[in-house]
Amino acid sequence: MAEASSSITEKFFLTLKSSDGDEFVLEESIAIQSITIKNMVEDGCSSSVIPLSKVDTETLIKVIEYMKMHSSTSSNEEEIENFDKKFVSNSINTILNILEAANFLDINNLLELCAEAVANRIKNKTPEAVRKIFNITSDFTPEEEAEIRNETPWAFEGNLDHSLD
Amino acid sequence: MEGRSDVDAAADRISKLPEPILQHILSFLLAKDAAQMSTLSKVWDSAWNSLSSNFGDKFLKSKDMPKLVNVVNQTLANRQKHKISMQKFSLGLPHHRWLSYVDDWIKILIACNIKELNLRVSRPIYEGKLEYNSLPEAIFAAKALNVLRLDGFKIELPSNGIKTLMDLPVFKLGDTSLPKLKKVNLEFCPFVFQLVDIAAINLEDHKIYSLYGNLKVVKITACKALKTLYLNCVAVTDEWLESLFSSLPIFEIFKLFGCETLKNMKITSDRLKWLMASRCDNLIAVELDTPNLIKFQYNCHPLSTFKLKASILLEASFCLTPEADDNHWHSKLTKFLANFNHSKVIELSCHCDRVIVIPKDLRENFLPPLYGTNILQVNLQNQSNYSVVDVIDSMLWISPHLGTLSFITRAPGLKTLKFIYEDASDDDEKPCCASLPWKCWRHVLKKVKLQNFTCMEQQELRNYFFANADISEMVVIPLDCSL
Repeated sequence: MAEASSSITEKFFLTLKSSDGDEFVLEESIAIQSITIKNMVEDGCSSSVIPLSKVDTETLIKVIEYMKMHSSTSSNEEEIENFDKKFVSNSINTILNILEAANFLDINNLLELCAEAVANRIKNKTPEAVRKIFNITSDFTPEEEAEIRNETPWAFEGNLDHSLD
Repeated sequence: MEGRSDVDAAADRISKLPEPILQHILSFLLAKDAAQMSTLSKVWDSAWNSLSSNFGDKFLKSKDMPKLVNVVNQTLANRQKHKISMQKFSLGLPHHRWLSYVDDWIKILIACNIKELNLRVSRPIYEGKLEYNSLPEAIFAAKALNVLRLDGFKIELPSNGIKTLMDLPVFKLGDTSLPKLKKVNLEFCPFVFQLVDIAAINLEDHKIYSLYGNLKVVKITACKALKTLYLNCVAVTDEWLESLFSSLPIFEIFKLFGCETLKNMKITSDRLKWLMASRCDNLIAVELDTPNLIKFQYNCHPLSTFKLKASILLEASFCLTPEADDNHWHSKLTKFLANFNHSKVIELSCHCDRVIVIPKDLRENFLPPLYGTNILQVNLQNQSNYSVVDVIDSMLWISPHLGTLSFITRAPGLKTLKFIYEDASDDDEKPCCASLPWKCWRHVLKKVKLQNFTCMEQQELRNYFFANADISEMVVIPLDCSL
């Protein structure tokens, strides 16, 4: 049963439309790495333009680049690894955009990759340094902050990196 | 560090990410680092606080477990102490030996009025056979639980003698347990599965995926609140289907995939809004008395006969896949489509233009099938046998009074034609549409707008429309601008 349904869909192309209105045509087999798109395809045969209102053109281009590289047929492991390394060296703002898109499109590997990339820029830093890097403003009173520190005292022992690198 | 400058210029983007993503980011950090980030701001504090309740649906790594156990123990204890209630707890355990902790956690979670619980655990191997884990019995005391997702467990309901094992051919939930249960998904039902019996009075959403098509009996008529049902490869009978609607008063969305035992689909319902039948390839006849049906998706081959009563707002989409040697395809298609002549929007999908270009000799023997349709969308994978004019000519025969006709092809952009009409003059005596309730486009077409066609196609269409209708204007909108 499953085989029969995949054989009729394998040659299909899908059109993805970014929030800026740009359209991208992509092989269905590549696009269904996104569970969101896969569900749309499986929920009947409507294969009209798929509007992605939450993904802008710049981000969608990156996401498609990623899906093409990770589609099972075309690339070997080493290529993929190198691609991923380069991919996460995008600016943090771009990574955050892709992360949101990966969440919306439900592309697990990409979400994982970007979340880890962001985590790597937080790793071993003090909260003060992280605030500066990501422009986070504290909305705690000093008393509240002290109280939170007291809840998890084990987290604030030892030395940490105050630099922003 | 690169990338810092563009962050400085922008606002605080990261804190605006959805909480599950923030938690996902935190989950890559050591528990110690992640806990520190709770002092960043309230958003981060909340993300950290519920992180200890959400370990994702994926399996954690074994090497992370000791750390995790520590974090969960601490934060759950904290919640219980401050009596903070809890929405959702998700956990994927890499090995069943960690289950020993779960019993205690569940007791705390129940004390926190847990509403949604997702548990995954790898299955143990015993004497070379994959076994299932026992579900911690404490779960059945969870009075506030709405959603329970389990993977890798067998279920043994403790009281009332109801006992269900994933290895037995029966899945049964009586209405004595889990009264708040709203959703049940059974995915990849095992081979031996033969009966699903659910009597959960508040169940709204139910999905069954049976890989092997041997699940024969689904008893859900006691689920009076059921709104949505999805069956995948379930061997239901015609009688079962017919009786389903009389017992479920607010049933609205029904999707069937690969239910090859169905031969006659007879549905009478005032509530049904959305029906999908896909790859139910043994369907012979479909009879729908569903005055409020607004969405219908059909992808079964060969085409079955139809009797239809649906909303005038019905949007219907069809996947057309004729047998290669079917000599009568076009007359079958014409008869089939005629059932939907009052539907507002029709979508046709097919591999090849041959499927939808109706031969001219045949057109003389039939009425245009979709004369009441306003919007027709064609999803065409391969247009190589006919010219664009031939395809459009056929579409305008099928549906002679369209407002919009559009094509999805492999080329970028939606190729669209919009038609603007004027009142017909009575002395017009073209014989082409004498039998129709109104005059066809040839008499009344005033203006055509084209979008996203190539220059050559535009020229061909210009010749075609000026030759066939008395139009005053043809507007061409260049590639990728909106109308």
